[in-house]
Amino acid sequence: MTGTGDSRTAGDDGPPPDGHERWRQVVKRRHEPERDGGLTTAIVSAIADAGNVSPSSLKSPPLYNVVDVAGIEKAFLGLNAGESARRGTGSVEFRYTEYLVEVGSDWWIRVYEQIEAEEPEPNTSPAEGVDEAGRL
Amino acid sequence: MTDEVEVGFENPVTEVRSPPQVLESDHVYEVLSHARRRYLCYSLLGDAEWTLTDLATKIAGWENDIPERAVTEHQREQVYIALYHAHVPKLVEQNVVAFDDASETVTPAENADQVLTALEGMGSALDSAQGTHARGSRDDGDR
Repeated sequence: MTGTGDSRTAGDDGPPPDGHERWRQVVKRRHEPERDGGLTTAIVSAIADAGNVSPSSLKSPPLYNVVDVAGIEKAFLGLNAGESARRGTGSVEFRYTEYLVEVGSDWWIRVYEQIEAEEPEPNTSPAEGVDEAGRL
Repeated sequence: MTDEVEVGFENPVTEVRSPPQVLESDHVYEVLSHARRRYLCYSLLGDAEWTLTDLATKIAGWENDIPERAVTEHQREQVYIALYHAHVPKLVEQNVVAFDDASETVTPAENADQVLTALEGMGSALDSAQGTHARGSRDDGDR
């Protein structure tokens, strides 16, 4: 669990977290405790969305084995409690299979997928890169 | 229970699981600190084997105050996910239940008695309505 006091990624379509430039955001959804029930369900649903599968078919591994969701809930509820409470922001990120998942204390859940390895770099000179135009 | 049935919930990070032993009371209360886990444990008092789908249906009925047959697919799925990804693994880790991945059934494990005893003790004061509901027969389903 990595908490950061950094709110730079709190913007709506902010860049991937530092050090993860090779990740592309594929899902962003806000956890609404009243609607979704627990945070576990919201995270699993977001990951399922990223893979275009139904949430109940996402089985392995159980999220419990990957991240302490109850701990996140407790920590972020504390941050959000009471208007007079010190307002802090933070986020937690973790890997789930091929995804990178970020949960913010603002209850935004973002799922990133790795940007595929680029096509073999054209080591050739621009003059020989004629096929590039045709491919796009 | 063989180790095999629990393999899906093995935590890759903390491979070492403490041997079956008496749970400290802190753990008992942690296990019982969530309404859905209490409900699951109450259900085991009534019937020693549950499929996850049946449990999810029953809990969704309880939470929404509707009969099981009125539970929607979405309501069931919401609870199912929480059971599968959070509550059951926690109970497996504490050796309170065993989970069979293939059949997705939950059965009591070594520490179940201890937890169920504690639950019965607090039942009348805290959760009697929930306990009564959980232990009620599966009357309105033909599953």
